Amino acid sequence: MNWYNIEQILERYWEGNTTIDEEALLKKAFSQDKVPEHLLIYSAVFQVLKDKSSEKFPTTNFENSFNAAIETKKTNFRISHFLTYAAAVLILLTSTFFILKKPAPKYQALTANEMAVAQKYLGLMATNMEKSAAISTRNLNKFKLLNKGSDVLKVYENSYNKSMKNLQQVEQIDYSYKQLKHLKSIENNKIKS
Amino acid sequence: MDLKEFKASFFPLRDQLFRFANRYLHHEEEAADLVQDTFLKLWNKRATLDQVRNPETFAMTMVKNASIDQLRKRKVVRMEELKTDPTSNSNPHDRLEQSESYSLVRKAMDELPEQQQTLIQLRDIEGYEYEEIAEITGLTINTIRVNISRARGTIKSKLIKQEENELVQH
Repeated sequence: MNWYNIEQILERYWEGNTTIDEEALLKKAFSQDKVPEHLLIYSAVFQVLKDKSSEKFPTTNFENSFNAAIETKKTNFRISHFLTYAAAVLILLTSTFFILKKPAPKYQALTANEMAVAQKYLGLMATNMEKSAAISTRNLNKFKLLNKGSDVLKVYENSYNKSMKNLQQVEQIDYSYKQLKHLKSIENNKIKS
Repeated sequence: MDLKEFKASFFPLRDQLFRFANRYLHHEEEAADLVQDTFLKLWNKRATLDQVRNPETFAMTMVKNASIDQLRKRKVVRMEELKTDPTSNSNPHDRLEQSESYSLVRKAMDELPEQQQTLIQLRDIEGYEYEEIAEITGLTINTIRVNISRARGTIKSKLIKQEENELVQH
């Protein structure tokens, strides 16, 4: 071991100007038994560093722990998914049950008086309904008649319009005839004169 | 990205992600949980990971952000005391670790400003280039250089001061 060289490197080590390789060389040099007397006090530094770098992860079966942990995580994940789906299905079924379930009708027997009153009013209701139906039928018939009248009126209107058109044509012919007659009289007068 | 590719790309990063999270949280258990969560988040993003330019710095940035979020949740940043018990370590550097210098360096690193601790972590412990650190932290390269230099200088000066004190005592 070139201790002169080591000492040079050591000086640069204190100043923070050494490379990783040089630092490894220092650690190696100071781990030897024969360290020069004047450098011996620095052996402790490299021995402490070496001991600190030898500290191991305490669990020996690290890989098994890790495998177990990722398996547990997967299982937890699957269970949590299953529970989510199960909860969703349960909510759906419960909601459907309550939606479909109608409250059971509660029948209560009526007294004789109540029954009589009910019958009376039911009878009145039936009579009124019959009357309403008859009135409705009558009104419907009237409405039908009105419709018919309206159709007939339309026919008359059409005939009237046609007659008016014919009359206009007749008037035009009459005007033409008068014009023609007037022209003929003018022509006759001319001949006479 | 399938599971095989994901594992090949990200699993080797777990130790450095853990160290980085622990750098913020000072709590190994929380840091480990955070890293596991980060891996799950990355896995969930697997469809878009191919578009990420540097997956490593991307993962480190995620850990940084998650750690900061966690610290915010805690509201109080706990600065734990040094936990290391040097006598319990049995590596070849037992002697050194039991030394005062070793304890002083660890303490000095833990007492650095938060930003400098993060930068030392990324450069001296994880070995990232300045450009990658800039990507992870959002700082400029110049700021990173200056702060790393300051942090190293602080540790060095504390070591020298301790040595001087020892010489005076002897």
